[in-house]
Amino acid sequence: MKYVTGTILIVALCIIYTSFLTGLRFIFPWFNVVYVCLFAYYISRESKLSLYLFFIGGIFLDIFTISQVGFTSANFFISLLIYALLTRIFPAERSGKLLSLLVSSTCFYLISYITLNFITNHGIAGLLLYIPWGIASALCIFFLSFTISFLFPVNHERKISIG
Amino acid sequence: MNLNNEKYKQQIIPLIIYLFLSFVLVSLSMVRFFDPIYLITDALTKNLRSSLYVTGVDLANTFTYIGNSNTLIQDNKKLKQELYSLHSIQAQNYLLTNENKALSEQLGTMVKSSNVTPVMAEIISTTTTSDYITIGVGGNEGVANNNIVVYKNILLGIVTDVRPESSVVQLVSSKDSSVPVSVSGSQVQGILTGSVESGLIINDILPDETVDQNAMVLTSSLGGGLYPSGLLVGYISSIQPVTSQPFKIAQVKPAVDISTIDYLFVLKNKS
Repeated sequence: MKYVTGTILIVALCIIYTSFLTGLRFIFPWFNVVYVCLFAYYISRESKLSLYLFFIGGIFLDIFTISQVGFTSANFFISLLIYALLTRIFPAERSGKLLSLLVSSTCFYLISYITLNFITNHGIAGLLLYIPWGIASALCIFFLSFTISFLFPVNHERKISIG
Repeated sequence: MNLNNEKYKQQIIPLIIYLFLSFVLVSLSMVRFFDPIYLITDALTKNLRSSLYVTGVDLANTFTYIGNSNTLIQDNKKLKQELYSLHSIQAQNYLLTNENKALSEQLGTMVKSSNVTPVMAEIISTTTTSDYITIGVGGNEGVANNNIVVYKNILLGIVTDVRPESSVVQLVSSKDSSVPVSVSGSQVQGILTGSVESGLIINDILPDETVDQNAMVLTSSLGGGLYPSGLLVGYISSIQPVTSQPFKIAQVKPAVDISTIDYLFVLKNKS
């Protein structure tokens, strides 16, 4: 049941991101809302469901943005792997998490840019622009994940000891 | 320590499995395995996405208007003055139209009926690079690849991918786009391309050619390409020399901001 509800929610989020937010223009296209929400959920819950949502979310983002299916979810999981490796190296509870997030989120945006660059041959202009977006999204993920943990403290205590 | 290692493995292994699955999907996608899924999701979500996109555009425009309210009053005054001068031009045009009509009748010429039919379409979404848009008409409405997409007499792009319910349009601002153009009031002809760094540009303008700022950039039939001649693309915003080359490049301001329009037209061939 959780998986069905999660799938419906994530598809709805992808539709909102790829249509409403693209029309809104203020945060499109650089601030990947779906990525931020999923990452925050992963940090605060650390469940198999969050990985499944990453996978499905990435697929639907690719379908709605006319991209190669699998590119976004591959990018998601590469940044998650980087995050997992860094939390192993920097195990301190909050500062370690934030540092790991900063690096992995920046990597996500850089990989996105390099992928786009590969597909569209856009040159190297704007590459540095992706680092501030990575840092901004990491901070959002950090605060959002702690907000989720604060709102649902029981699950948070059970799951928060990652790395 | 062993407990930590075990927990770490449990964390890493699913990530690696999902990453592997993602790469499998990419491989399948490259052989167009997911085309039927694209079609199904497209048909199911087209109307919803279209409405959400329009709502987003409207909301963004509202915020823009609020932010620009001070300048809007001044702009309004200027526009009124322009309107007065346009009225006088309109009167002149009316006289010229009547004159032209009379001349045509006298010469026995007939205006050739165009061999294209406009199909009205709404924008569903744009890609992350803003180079392509998805529109809400497709093969079911007779849209085909290489159909021209316009807004009034302004060229927006060309259809590059057609599905039954929707189509993908490559905008003129795309890096992959190349449109033969001419510049009004000059002999300049060239190829207009999109560029992430500079927007729309015309390359290889000879140094002795003069181009006025704000001159109109129109499509030309040079090379007998895909584009009909005479469609407006934009206005010259600046002309700059190219370092270590004898040529100049012109930057072109698009005639219309795609995010501010509600609908557009696909020119489909009557045949």
